[in-house]
Amino acid sequence: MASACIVKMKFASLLIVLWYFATSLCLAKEPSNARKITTRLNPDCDVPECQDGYNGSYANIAHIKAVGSEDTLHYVISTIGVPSVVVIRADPTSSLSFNWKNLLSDNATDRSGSITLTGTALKNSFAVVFTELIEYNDVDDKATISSYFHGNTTTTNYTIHDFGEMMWSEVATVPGNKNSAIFSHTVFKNDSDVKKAEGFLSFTFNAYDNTGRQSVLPKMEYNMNNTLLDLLLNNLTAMYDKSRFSVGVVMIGTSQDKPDITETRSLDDEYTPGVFKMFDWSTKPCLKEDGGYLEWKPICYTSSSRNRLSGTYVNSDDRTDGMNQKHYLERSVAYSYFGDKLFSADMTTSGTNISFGLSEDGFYVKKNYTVWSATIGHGTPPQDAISILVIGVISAGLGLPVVIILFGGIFVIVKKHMAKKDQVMGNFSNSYSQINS
Amino acid sequence: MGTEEEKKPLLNHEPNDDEEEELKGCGGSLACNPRRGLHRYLVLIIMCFLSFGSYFCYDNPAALQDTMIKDLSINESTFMGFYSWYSWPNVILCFFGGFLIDKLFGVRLGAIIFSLFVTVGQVIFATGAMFNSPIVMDAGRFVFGIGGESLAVAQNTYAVKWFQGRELNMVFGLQLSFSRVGSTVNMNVMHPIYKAINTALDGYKCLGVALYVGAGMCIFSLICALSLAYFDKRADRVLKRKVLSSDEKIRITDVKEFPLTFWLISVICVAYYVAVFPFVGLGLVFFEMKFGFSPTLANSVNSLVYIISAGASPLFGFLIDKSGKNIFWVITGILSTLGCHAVLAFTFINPFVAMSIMGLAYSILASALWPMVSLVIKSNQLGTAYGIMQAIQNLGLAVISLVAGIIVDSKGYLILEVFFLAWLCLALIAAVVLYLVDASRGGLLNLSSTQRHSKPDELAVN
Repeated sequence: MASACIVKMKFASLLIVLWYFATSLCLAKEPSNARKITTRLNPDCDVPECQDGYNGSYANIAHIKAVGSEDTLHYVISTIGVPSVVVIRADPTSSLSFNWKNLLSDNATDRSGSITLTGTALKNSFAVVFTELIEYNDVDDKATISSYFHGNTTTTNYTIHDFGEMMWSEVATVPGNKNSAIFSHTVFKNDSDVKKAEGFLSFTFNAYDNTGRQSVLPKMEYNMNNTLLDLLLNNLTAMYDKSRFSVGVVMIGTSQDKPDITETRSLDDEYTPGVFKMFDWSTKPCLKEDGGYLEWKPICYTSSSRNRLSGTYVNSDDRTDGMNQKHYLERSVAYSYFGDKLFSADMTTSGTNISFGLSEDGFYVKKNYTVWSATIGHGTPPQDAISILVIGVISAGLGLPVVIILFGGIFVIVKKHMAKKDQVMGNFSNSYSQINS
Repeated sequence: MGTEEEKKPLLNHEPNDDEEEELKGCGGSLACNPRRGLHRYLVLIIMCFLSFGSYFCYDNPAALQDTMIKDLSINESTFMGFYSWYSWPNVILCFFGGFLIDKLFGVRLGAIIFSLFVTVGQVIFATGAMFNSPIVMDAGRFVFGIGGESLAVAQNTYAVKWFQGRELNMVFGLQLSFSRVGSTVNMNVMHPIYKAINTALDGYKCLGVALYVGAGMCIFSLICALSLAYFDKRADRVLKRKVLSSDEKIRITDVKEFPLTFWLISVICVAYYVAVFPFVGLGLVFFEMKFGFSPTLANSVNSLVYIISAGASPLFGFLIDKSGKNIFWVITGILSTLGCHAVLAFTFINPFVAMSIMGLAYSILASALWPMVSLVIKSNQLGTAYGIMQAIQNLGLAVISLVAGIIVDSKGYLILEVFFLAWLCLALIAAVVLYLVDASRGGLLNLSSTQRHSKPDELAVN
């Protein structure tokens, strides 16, 4: 009796020890690289352009700070000059200050260094600059911008809308997420026709301190090291019958590695049915975990409900080294932070045109709506992995027949063995002939 | 003496005035003489084309999947509805197809009526597309379905009538191959037809006209049905054939006598077919998106299953007849298809490989599975048994077609493949259980053919 109790007690204490061990393991796995994310809209603003607007247009900056244990990512997102996202990596206690008077100056020397970092800058900051909005008339319905844009084609088939000439509303947060910023423009300022006020273009940024996925297609994965971007072209009045839009993008890396676009083919289209590719534009293509990235799936949607039927292709051909966009880069907040270092050998740029649309999809005018999602962040660009559901179903589905085959095989062998034994026994009993017949 | 009696013939029979009919002129030539083989083989050709139109049009949606989805602005689940609605009437009808042909219409009228249903159904389908109405198209597929499967029964009945005993297996195999050729032709021809019409028309009107071309094929088959009726009636008159009444009656009450092995075979049938046909239906867009194929190339890959089975089915039928061991072949077929789906889902290996192997595996399974039914069911219950199996198969296809469409829309192609893999695993489990059950009862389903032919008494199911 006593020995049973001792055994029971020993067993219980073993369980308790195991439990503590397990929980301490779990606690130890608490991510020590969690980030605390805060957002300031128009920080240090002391000029009317950011407070009340100037000539109907606001100068906007959103500063999203993601503070981690080893570094801080400062996202400086602005439509001053041209829409840009500058991602500055610095030590955990760093901060940024903004000299608005210089930021908005027409003089390049004033603008240079108008955003200053207090703290130690770490390696691998980067910037993404949206240089121009191109509208082209796709007369051949091929959806390839390069045939209209370069070479000696006539200029009547495309128009460049200068972001700098656009009138921007005041930056606001997305309802429901305090770490967000929406930049939207209303009218093309210098166009002669008065465009309908309902049409607008907007950049929406969302940052999260946890890992998850967008609730709408293309269900891009976000985590604490990146920010979600949605570019929306809603009801813009098209200039041509067969208008398609494209946005020029320049990626700036703070090393001598040239930022390059990699296409990854994935087996898994669970999150975006029908889309098996992922593109990422990394500033350090050979060592992606150190660099920054712009990541997207080659799909954009022509309706706000974002269903599979409304999806169309996103093209990113037409690569350049970005230096032909130098005049735009100089006006962006990337120049305000990096200064002339931007054009030195220590930093490398590369550019492309992200074009929306696919041959025979009816052009922009079919729905007058295009929305494209991407993520901008630091580190290895997230890839879609096969979910647990798939692995579970496959293991159960294939495991069960194997189990049945095993047990069934054993059963059949045993049965045959028993039958043989009976036969043998039968032979023995038959060999004894009856004595008294 | 009995001279009167002597003059009387010994055997008392009627004077012979219905002599053999003289066939004059063209009717008496070699090709038109029902008593000669050449005529039967020429009629065989017409017989094979009887269901060509129906098989051609059955897979019209698959061949035009991407254009249908775009022109009609539908999602994949609505698209798969076209397949689902084809199967629904056949859940009930396959019980009555044999009855309708044997008792009610006769094979000639039955073939014409079912051909009419097929043609009218396809015309309604095409008209629905012309007016951008998926509901009308669903109705068209329903009417088409009423005719389609029953037409196959009529074709089989014709084959039995003209080729009983002698060359029946070869004829069945040939008819099946022809039907598969019809499907393959459809896959490879519809896109070029659509493109040709697209130069003049656009959108759903273009789609409608392309589908009318399919209706044209059905009219061709209808003409075959009419000519077959003429030749059959004539042959009946010349050869004085009696009306065949098959002993395959449908009696639902027989069902309670069916052994466990039969139900396992039915499960294998359903679980396997739902992993092949709905996949072919959805294959076009899958090959376009995952492997970057052009629509024409994607369609030819998709049609591989059909064209390979057109050639391989008779071959494997012959092989399996010779070797026996049906369960072994069934398991081989299921495992190979499992491997193919896994390769398509989890690798980027060129799908030509996987689809070719799938075509072979499908032929193996079809050739090995259906004959097993005749080994476990009494011959006078076979009609009911086949009817039940086909009813379950159609029910499965009707439901799973819809489910597959919904899965693709919401969860993508990888999950769809996993779904099909799960069904194949179920088929595998059923096949393994079938082997075990069969082995414990004497193992007659898996005998080699030498063993089978050496013990005919034990095999008589009593």
